[in-house]
Amino acid sequence: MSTTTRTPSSRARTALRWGPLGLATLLVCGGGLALLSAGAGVDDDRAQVAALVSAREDDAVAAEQEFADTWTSVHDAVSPVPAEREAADSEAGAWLLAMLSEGQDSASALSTEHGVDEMSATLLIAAFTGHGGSLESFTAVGTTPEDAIAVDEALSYSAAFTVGTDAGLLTYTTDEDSRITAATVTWSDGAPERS
Amino acid sequence: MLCTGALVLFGAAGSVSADHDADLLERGKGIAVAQERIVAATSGIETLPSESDAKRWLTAATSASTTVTEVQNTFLENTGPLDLSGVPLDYQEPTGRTVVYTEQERMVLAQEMREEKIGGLDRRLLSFFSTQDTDGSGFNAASDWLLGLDTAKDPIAGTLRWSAPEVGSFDQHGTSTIVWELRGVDGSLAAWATATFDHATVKMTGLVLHEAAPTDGEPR
Repeated sequence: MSTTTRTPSSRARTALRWGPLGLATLLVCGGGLALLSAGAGVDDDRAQVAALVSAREDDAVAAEQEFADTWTSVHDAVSPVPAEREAADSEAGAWLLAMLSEGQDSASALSTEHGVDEMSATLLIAAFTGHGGSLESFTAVGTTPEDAIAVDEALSYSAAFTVGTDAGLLTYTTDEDSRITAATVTWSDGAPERS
Repeated sequence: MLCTGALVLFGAAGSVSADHDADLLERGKGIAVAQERIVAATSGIETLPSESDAKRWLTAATSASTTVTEVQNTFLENTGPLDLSGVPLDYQEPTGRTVVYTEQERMVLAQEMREEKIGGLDRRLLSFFSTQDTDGSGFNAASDWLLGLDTAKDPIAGTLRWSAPEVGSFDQHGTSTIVWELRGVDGSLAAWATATFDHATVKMTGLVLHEAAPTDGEPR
């Protein structure tokens, strides 16, 4: 029977042999842990940020709505035409022009969509011959009744607009449902004067 | 080999962490954008007028628009051939002798009367427009707009009239758009002009003047 006795020098040799390997293994484990740690919670962090953004956006929408409501309240207190009617009438005019500028060529379709009588629709379509492109700008200004308008009151508007590089003036009338009942288009002759 | 692997892992961990931070910052930009919207809306409410101020806004804008319309129509009334109907036929000397004006003298008098009528109108327009911003052609809003139109050469120019509706509305930016239309006695549209009225400054900016294209068979 033989007995192996480790001498201090053999322990040192063993330590020198396995020490770096152990250290390296520890380092690899540490790196792995660091990588795991860096990757962990990413989704949670994103969800938290998304929740914060969403909450702030909700606050922004609420603030903008409060501004719009306050503006509407002041506007409607002094203007004879409610802001809602103005917006609907303006939208109708812009939509009519957008349809025409995109090459709407059916008077009956225009009549169905907008309530424009077929004669006016035919004239409008003819007026747009040679004027194509997208509707670039549209600003409608309504005639102002002396008193607050009645529910069924018609309103007239003049709207300066730009289609492509061409400019024109659309004059139109709307009924109580913001349907266009009459409209004419006049095109501009050459470049405008600007101040 | 293991050391290299460890280094790679640590490097990857650092990279993942940095990417994550950058990703969160990018996603968080929405907070700053929303905050800006909140500030804009809140300060917007503070700048909205009271009902009484809003009434004054519309009254002032209509007054300005009406003044501009009147001035432009005065220019129009004094356009074209001189009108001798308002010019006296004669005058009385201090001695009591009546002297009859010659046709030429009456024309000179008519011209002087016209210049008196339109003199100073530019200054009235300056109350509402700035002369600082003019386009390449030098068109000036604070002047006779007809001078910027070919219609000026038309003999019927003097019969045309500018009109603009009352200002009955304002937008969320505290401005109102004004549209003037130049029409003949038969209602035909000869030109139009648009400008933005700023209720805070009580000034009009961005005047754009368009001349209507002649319709078929209607020479200008």
